Order: sequence, then structure tokens, then C-alpha cells
Amino acid sequence: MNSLNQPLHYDPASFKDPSGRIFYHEGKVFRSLTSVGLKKVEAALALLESGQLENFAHGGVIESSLLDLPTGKVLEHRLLSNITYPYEWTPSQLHEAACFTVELQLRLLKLGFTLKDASPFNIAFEKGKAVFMDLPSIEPDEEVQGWVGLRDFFEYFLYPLLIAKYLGLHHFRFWMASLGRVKLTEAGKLLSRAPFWSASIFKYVRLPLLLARLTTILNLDRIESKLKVPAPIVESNLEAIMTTLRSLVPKAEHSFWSRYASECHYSDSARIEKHAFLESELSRMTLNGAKFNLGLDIGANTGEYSELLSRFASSVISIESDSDSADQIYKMARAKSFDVHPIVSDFTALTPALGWAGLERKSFLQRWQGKIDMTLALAVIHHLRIDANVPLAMILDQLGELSHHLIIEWVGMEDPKCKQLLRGRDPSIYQDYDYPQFINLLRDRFDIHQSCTLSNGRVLISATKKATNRKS
Amino acid sequence: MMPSLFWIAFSFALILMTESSANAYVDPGSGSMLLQLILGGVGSVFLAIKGFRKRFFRKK
Repeated sequence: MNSLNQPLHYDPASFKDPSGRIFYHEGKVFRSLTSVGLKKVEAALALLESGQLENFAHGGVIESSLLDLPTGKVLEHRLLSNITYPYEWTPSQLHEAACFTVELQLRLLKLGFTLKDASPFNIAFEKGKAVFMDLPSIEPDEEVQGWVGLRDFFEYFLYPLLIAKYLGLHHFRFWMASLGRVKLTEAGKLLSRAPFWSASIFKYVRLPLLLARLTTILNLDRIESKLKVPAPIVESNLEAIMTTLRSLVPKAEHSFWSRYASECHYSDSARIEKHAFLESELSRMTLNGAKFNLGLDIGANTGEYSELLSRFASSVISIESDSDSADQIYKMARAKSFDVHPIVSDFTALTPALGWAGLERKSFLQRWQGKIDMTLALAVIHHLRIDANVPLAMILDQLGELSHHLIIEWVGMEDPKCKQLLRGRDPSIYQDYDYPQFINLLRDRFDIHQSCTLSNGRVLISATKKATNRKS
Repeated sequence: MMPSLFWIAFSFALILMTESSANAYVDPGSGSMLLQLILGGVGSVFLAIKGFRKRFFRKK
């Protein structure tokens, strides 16, 4: 820790916090503290150490400790393996995070504390459970004035969930441009045709809209600052919100892709061959029982192979563009306590950097490029080449940039699924899409270890990035 | 008395039904303390009605 005298590399996302800033050092995560921040954090830390912030139904608070250094006191947090953002989450993840936020705030109020905000960026997922990672957001509630985080809670959590229920829009990437936030006026427009008898729409959308308008007309700002909301009302409001959340549990939808694994043309024998090859190669590559640190499953569907990969990797990122399929991955991770992180995204349009100066929220590639040990690219190459028109060489370049090891499934032009994709398209456009060319391009970038032709004609290949191309 | 009450209610209903966007300088979050008080009131009324129904329509 003496080397903390060196210049610190602050996390650019933590600039908004007046109590301190996050920085990383020797693989650990710390938070520098201002004098005001220190006082608040000491109170929150005492609460955490008392054990009164344990045993939540929906999550927990990050383990943290205060270090007394010659340069001053810093807070050390347990390092979380992977941070995903609300606009990458599945419906059940946002619902879990929403329930946990309300549950935490209710617990805090009873203990004389409060959450000063309600940001989903304060929550990460670990083994399917929500983890609250912003300790300085927990403050002593010296004078109850109502919950100042209510507006954030509505716009980040409640409105996207209400829109998912009433409009069927489960894809939170729609709200990516506003960092996952649906403003009240937008929610009002989108939910204008929701049933007029819905109490939750009336209480949380129509009533706030009416008040916002009345505030302008009657200049209610004058009385607003003088109002104090008694603690029992704050608590009863939170309990009412929790009741509403119970009615917003995302239902298991059956989209085309979420049924794909059970209805696709894979025969039982081909599926057994595929599992056997994957198990054998993943076992061989993790021979001494040393798991991969991080695995990636591209086009993960409902997570059949993410689950398999999680037996060989400490954490797995699962990219799936269909939110209903990705939701099944999340439920599997939650139920089996696997550290699998679904990301609702198309591999051809991964999450960009967002927020202030593009530094506030990292892109997918900033977070994981070059850090992935093993990538599964199973039955996706034909979609990338034919659907998305990405040349084979560029697909393999990107896979090489992402990961050290790769297991890829070749789906040839003669495959029924490939033929489906080619319907109405000119096949001459895809002249690079043949097996010999694919193998040559793969060999340019990777050392091939094993290959296996399945009974349905598809080929599985395991490979490792060439040492000359590998980044240190 | 009655007509004025009617017009107040009518005006409220009109505002509720209007979908025009709020002024950009109006923070939709403002009114949140007022909103919390009203929500608390609405909740209490619902609870009172629930209690009332339970008391008078309880099966004997």
C-alpha cells in the first residue's frame, strides 16, 4: 500500500460523487474520501459492521473496510468481477434491482438512515444476486423530509418496468441514449393508453404529471421546499411501491429465440456430440483444475452452453440479443448461483461508451476486450456473415481481439439454417463464406487444436490466439 | 357551490387528459414531496376503505 503515493488512476465514472472517488490499485478497488464523505461513510460502515444490513431477500451490500493510511483514510471495497449496466440487463434483473432498492431503503429508514439516491448504477450482479456497491449513498437520515431518491427510482426502475408490462417492451436498450432513464413526460406519453383503472399508472405516472403541471401553474415550488413527509408515510409509500413491483414480475415470454433451443433442428445425437467436444476441450484447457477467469458466450440463447462454460470459468458473460432468452439465462444463474452475466445486446452492435465525455459508462470493449480467456462462438458465424454482412476476416479479427482461446462452430452453406438465411439473397456476395477459406483465415490468427465434424455436418473447432498476435 | 366544484374537477380532468409536454424548465421531479404526501394520503384512504369493508362485510 506504500505505493499509493504514486499518482492514482481514478475511475472516470465516479466524478459525480461529492464524498469521494473510486480508484484501482494492485487489482483492488478503493474510494478516496473527502472530510464530509468520511463522516458519512464511518456511520454507514458502523451500520454495515453491526450486521443489520444482512439477509435481504433480493441482494446484499458490498463488503467494505476503512484503511488508515499515512495519506489519509480510504475505503476498500470487495472487487466485483463484472459490472453490467441497466440498459444491458434483462427484465428480471431490473425487477430484482428495483425490489432490492426498495427493500434496502425500507430497512435503512427503520435504522435511521436513508438512500440519498436510487441509481441502478449503484447495483451490480454477482451469481444472479443484486449487490449494492455505493456505500456513501447510505446516509444518516437526520431529518426525515421524504425520500429524495423517489424520482430517480420512478425514472430508472418503475417506468421501464411499467412500460415492459403495458407495452411489452422488455428491451431496455431502448433507453440506452438516456443511460437507462425514462423521464416522467416520456413515460406519460408512452403509457397514455394504459388502462385508466390501473392504480399504479394513476399513482406513479398520471398523478406526478398532474402535479408537475400544477407546480408550474400554481407556483407550488414555494411550498415544496417547506414540506416534510413524516416517516410513516415514507414507509407506507415504499410498501405500496413494493406491492406494485410484485405485480410487475416479468412473465416468462416465449419468443422465437427462447424456444429455439428446444425446437431447432439439432438431433439428440448431434447435441450429445457437441456437448462431448466442448466438455473435452474445456477440460483439456483447464487441465490442472485452474478455471478460466472469464468466459464469453456469443449468441448465448437460453444459456445452455453458458451454463456448461461456467463450470470451467469463474465468471461468464453471455451476449444474447433476445431479452426473453437472456432473461432465462439470468434466472438460471440466480437459481444455480452461477456467476453468469447476461447482456442483452447484438454482437454486431455492442454497448458503446456513454455519459459525460464518453467516460462515464464504459463500452463493452473497454470493459472486456483482451480480458476474456475463452470465447464460445457457437452457431453464430452464419448470422454474422449473412445477416449482418460482416466479412469473415473481420469476424475472426474481432474474436482474436476479445479472447485468448476460442471454440467456434462452422455452419456451412449447405446447412438448413444457412439456407434459410440465404433466401432472397444473392449467394455470390458471400464467396468468402466457405470452409477452406474460413480455415485459412482462422489459421492466420489462431493455432488450431482440435476439430470435430458433427453428424449434422457442422464443425466445431478449438483454437488459441497466435502468440505473436496475443496482447500481454 | 356545486357548479364551482364541478368546474374545478373538470379543469383537473382536462389537465390530466392533456398530453402536451411540460415546460422544459419545469423539473418533473418537483412536487415530489407533495407527491409523497398525496400518495401517503391516497394509500391511507385505500387502507381505511379496506378496513371498513372488512369490518362491515365480515362473514359471521
